[in-house]
Amino acid sequence: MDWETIGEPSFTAIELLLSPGESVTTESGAMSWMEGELALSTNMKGGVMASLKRKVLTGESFFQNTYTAGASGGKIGLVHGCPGDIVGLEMDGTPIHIERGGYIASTGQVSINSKFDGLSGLFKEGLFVLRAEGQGTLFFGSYGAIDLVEVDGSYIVDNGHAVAWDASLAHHLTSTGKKIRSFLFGDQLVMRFSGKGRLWVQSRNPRSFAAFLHPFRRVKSQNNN
Amino acid sequence: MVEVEILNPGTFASARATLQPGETFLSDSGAMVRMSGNITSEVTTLRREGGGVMGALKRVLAKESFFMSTYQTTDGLPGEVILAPTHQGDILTLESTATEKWVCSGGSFLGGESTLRLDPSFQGFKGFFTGEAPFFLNVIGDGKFFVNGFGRLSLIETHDGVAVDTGHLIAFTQGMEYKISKAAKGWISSMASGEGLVMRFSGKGKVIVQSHDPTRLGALIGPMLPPREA
Repeated sequence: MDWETIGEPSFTAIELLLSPGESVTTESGAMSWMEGELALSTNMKGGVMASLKRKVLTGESFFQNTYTAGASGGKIGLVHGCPGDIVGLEMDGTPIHIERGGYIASTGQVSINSKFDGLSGLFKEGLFVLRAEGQGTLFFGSYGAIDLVEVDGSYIVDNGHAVAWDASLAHHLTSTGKKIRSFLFGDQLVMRFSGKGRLWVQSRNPRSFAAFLHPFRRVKSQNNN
Repeated sequence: MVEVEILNPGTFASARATLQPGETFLSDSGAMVRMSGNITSEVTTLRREGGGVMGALKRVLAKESFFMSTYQTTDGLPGEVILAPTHQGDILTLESTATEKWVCSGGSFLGGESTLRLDPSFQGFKGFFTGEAPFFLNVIGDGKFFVNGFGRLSLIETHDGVAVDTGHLIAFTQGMEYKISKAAKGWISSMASGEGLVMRFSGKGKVIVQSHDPTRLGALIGPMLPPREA
């Protein structure tokens, strides 16, 4: 399937050209525009349990949308919720792990399931990641630019910045400084990846932005019961 | 000298410092996005004369973070540290030399070579508005450093002076005369204009401004969010 990215790295969208009979499965809400003859079917990919797990455990949508091109083919534009980069990855069978909220779409035989990520993500990112495997194209997005890091040995990523990685990489949550300091400064909790494989990192962190906005919220009145 | 590079310049810029064995680099304590596995970081307090840890802690509570991280490689091999700010926006590399010294506004200093020292006791506006005066860091020593801003960063080379809204000010070179004042003449029209404080520089020098002011974005979005606990 032909596809291209537009507007990277700030306001990236992907546009896919679907030949008759071809289809793309997307996270609900990812579709921005379409053209031509595209039939939408909304389903629970992998069944009710898999969908429930996906929704409850990873925060992705319960339903996933599949757009299938009719006899004249069609075009579809997809985006991520955050302004930022999108990576389109031709899957060669190597499973990929995607952090909460990163998944956008997939084509071909790519399957998406939730996967227990160990206690490593307990503090901030949640306990589960998405596991993508099979042949096809996988699209995931970020807040900010995405850089690809070829890990060989070990690499450290600030908690909240890792977007996706080869499942062959091991990782654990650790602190870079002394314990008491880490207690004082949450940002000193980092993910340490080890092994050999690809790692995609986003240059901004939505959580930091939310933390910036927090003090601007109005303060609840003390007199309200 | 540490090798530095801006990655993805523009909206989502980040800054890379490549460290050779023995080299150290420092950053704002929350700025590290990623780094090689052979790098260690230590959080240190930025000491003001006589302030010590408690002084620094007070400033953290006053939303002026003075905790810095220092990075170095541990195994005799080179390594990299990538830094980025919270906001969408660009990063510039500046150099502090014997002939060109800089002052950064609070929050705009992202990181720099550890040959630099940051002095938070910049006394430019002593007694102006207690608690309201803009907060600045003096960059002391020689070395390269990064400044970050919200939006686009512009370098103004001025010969006869320039006036800049303090909410947009990122950095300026020492040696210029400056005073801080209201945007308009009277207090009432100044408040009505919606402009805050303006820094009027005179003489020859460089001023860096950011195209957007984060506190205005905060003021716009904050009231749209549910109220928070006090």
